[in-house]
Amino acid sequence: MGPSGSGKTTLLQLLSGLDTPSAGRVEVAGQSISELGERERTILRREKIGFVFQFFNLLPTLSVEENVELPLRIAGRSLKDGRTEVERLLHQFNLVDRRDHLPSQLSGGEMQRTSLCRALISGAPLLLCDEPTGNLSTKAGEEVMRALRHCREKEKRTILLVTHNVRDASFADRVLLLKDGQLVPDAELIGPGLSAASIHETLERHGI
Amino acid sequence: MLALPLAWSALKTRPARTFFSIFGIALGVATAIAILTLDDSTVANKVERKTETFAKVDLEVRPADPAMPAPEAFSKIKNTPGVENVGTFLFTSVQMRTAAGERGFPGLVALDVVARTSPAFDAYRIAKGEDLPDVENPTAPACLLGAELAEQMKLVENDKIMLTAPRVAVGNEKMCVDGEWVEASKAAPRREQDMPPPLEFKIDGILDRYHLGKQSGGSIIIIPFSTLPQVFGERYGSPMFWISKSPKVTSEELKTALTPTFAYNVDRTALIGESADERAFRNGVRVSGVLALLLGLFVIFHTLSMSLIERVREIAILNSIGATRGQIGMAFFVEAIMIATVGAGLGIGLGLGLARVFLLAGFTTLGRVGSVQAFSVHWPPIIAIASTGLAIAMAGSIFPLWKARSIFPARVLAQRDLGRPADLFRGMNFFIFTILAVVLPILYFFTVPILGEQSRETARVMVLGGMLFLFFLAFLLLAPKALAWVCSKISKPFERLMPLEGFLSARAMVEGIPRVATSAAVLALVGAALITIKGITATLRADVASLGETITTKVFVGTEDPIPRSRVEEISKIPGVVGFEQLGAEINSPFLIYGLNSHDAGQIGLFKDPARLKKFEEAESLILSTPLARSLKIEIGQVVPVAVPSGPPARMRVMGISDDFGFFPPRREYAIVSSRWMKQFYCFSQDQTTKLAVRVADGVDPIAVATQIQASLADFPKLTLKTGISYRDYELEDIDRDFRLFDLILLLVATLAGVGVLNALLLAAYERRKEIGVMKAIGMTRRQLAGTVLVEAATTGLVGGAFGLLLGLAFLFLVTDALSRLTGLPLRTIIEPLWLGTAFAGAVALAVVAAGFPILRANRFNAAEAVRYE
Repeated sequence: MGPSGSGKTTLLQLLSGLDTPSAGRVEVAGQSISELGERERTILRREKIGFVFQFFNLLPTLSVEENVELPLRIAGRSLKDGRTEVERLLHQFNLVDRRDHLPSQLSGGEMQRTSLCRALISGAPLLLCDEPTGNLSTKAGEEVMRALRHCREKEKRTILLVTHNVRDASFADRVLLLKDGQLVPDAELIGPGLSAASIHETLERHGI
Repeated sequence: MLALPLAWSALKTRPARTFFSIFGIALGVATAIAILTLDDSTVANKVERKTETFAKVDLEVRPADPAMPAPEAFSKIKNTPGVENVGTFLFTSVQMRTAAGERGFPGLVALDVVARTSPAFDAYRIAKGEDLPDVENPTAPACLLGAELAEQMKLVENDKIMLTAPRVAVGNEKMCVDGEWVEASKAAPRREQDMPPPLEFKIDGILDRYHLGKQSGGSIIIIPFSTLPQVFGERYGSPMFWISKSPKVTSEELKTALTPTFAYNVDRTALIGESADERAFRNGVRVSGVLALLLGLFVIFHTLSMSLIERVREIAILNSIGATRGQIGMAFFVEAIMIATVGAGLGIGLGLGLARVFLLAGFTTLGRVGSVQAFSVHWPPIIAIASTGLAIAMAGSIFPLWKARSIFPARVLAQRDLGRPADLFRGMNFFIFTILAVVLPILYFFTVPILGEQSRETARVMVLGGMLFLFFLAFLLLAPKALAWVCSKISKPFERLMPLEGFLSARAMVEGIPRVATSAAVLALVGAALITIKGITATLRADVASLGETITTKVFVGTEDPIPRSRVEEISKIPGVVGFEQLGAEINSPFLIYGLNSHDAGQIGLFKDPARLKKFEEAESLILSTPLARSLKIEIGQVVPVAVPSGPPARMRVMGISDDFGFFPPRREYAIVSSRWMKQFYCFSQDQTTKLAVRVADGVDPIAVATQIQASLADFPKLTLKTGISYRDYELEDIDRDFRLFDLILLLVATLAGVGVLNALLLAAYERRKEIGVMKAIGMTRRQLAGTVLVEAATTGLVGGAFGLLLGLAFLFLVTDALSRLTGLPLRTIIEPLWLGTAFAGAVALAVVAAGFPILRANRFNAAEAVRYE
């Protein structure tokens, strides 16, 4: 967690290899991505990382199902083989009825759930979520957070989520605070079962 | 003012788009201006050469029947449709005596009032003194003197001279009567006392050394036509008539209207660049100009329309903070003006530069010649073309302006997606179709009219061609679903080979079908132009090659001094020679006629049949070359009047149409009659000749025979020898050389098409910048991204190439048919698979190459930036 401009999104982009650090090293799954070329970073992102964005970033010309399938296509994997997984995710996230709809025909929650399916389809062990509820209503935000909890518990994925939202942070096993591009020392909170009040209090204590 | 900074920032922040838009319009305008200037300079250059020693005359004719009185001939010509001005003139010699007793025999030109005073003829200019009075029958005889004559005789204006018919020539005057030269005095007794006495003329002015003033080396006198009888009596010979043509008719139509009552002098009267083949060539070049302009303007149209998609959020924000729709629309308008003004300005400079370079390199609109010095710049049409470009470009801003009015800011700002581009593009292609395919050609052809627009044939080609063009563009631009279906079918194989790239590009094409349609249309037009031009070249080459079949066994001999018959017979004895055509006897009466001794020609073609041979010799009959028969629309069995000097026209029946004999390079419109009739009507004997076509036996090397002929005629200093093969090869090279101009224009047009496709793909990449960023974020590699753009480009190229093939073939058949009718050449459309393949592959290659820069730019898009913000 951190205030605007603290470097949350930059951190995710550095971790995903979308951006490169001006100093220091970035390691993901034991691999130093700072030393990788652009192609290798892209492959790493494709295989190891799933992205969920605040603004969904669905391809407007593709249907829900096609958006979900997109990473399979990019990875050159057979759609036939991935069919079961696509169906499972669409069922899991309650999108079966919306599979042929274009993003512009979906609600915010549906769009973000589609985005989540897209992040999960490739089987990436790490999910990077950039304020996934930031653009959603409270109800839709809760739906998305429940879906993320499912990913963590049932799908056994590691989720790194950046947020402003204390309620979202309370779902986490571990909360770190970021301020002016630095981790705030002694501000780490360990879950599960973190309460919103304790997170709030920690934030206030560090002037965030 | 809000519009200016907005437009300026839009241009500044997209330098590539700005550059290619300006480049597109500049190259389009430049090509059109270069073509116009090239054509003007070509004609100016030819006019300069042609009129060096003569007046400005479109057609010079004389009655086929020499007995026709001059006033009757004048009246008939005057009443012929398409004749704007007619003047009577006669060129002869006269005997002159000055007051000091000096004698001379200068040339004499008698002109009627029209010929003297009409600026259309521009016959002479006065250096000193005054012009002749502008009256039909002057009270006192007056004349104008050539500068050289005045200097030589020390005469000045207002001096007096005596003129009389040259009595010394009376005894020598002869005329042909039934094959015999008879003394004119015997043919029609003429006594010394019949001759009028010398007549005194006052010198009104001295001529400038210009046009008629240069005739006879300046030793010339001009008198009013009405005074001729006072000098020559009633026997001053048949005058000629100068005609200036109305722009409403073609020279062919005028000639057809005047034939057979009048014969025209081919060498002097061919209109500059106005003969059928020249006109067809120049019209082809002119049509290329509208194609270039269309492609150039397509680029800016696309840029302006696409910038709407790109800036829809900006428009919504501006609107939400209080900018009126008018202010927003004005930004598009100002952007269009800025691009178009710079583009059109650069286009003028580039166009004039291109024209100059083409001319210096010898490229003209009448074929490839040596370096051309004349550089004629006509500013009004140049400004008109640049203004057309500017106006059409500004019209291009109307579509986004109109669309911008329909954007609801609340919807755009609230929506997470900005709507499908196809929705915003709806109607764009109809707009492009109307402005570029309908309005632009109308404006262009108003400025650069098609030559001979009154010709039914030209009109037919233009109407059919225009309909084809519109039908084809209408399908591409106005039937998006049909085109999307075609694209999806074409991209299927790509999907199998490259599933991701095929899938994404197919989707992008369906969404951006207007973009694909316009790019495919551009490529198709270039492909069609290539197929048409190369097809015409191949067709004309095939025609020359077919002529070559009849002359490859011939050796053409030309001399300045006549070759006596005995020497010709020596040549006929050279081993391998099977016959010869002695073509020294030729006359324009009213078309080119050669006299031929059929027994010399050998048993070929029509002469294999003894009955026909007999008919040719004995009946008053002639054989027409195929081009002449087609040009005069005469068929076998018809009767053609042929002017004969000693009486009424002979009525010759056409007994055959053949190119087997009589041809002597380069004129292909001719007739042949038996040498008997040349002797009978014109007293041309076969005793000597200056033109000879020697036929060699099959399998004999014509070059070896030519060498022997050269040895045999070594004493003729100005001997020219040309084998039929070398003539054919020269003509084939000539066609290739002439059509190089089209190659250059095609290169410019292909460049424009490439810029158009590049611009479209680049704008599409900008439009999909966010999508591209997202795909990169979720693992798409550079290669996959490049593949996606390439598959779209290749599919567009395939669609464009396929349509180009169909359109090109349709145009080719249309144009060769029209050329065949207009020129009288028996053309058969030749389709060369090489050029079909080149056009098709070229369209694909052009699209793929054009994709290079957009791919480069797309790969540079920052994925982190793209996914960060909405």
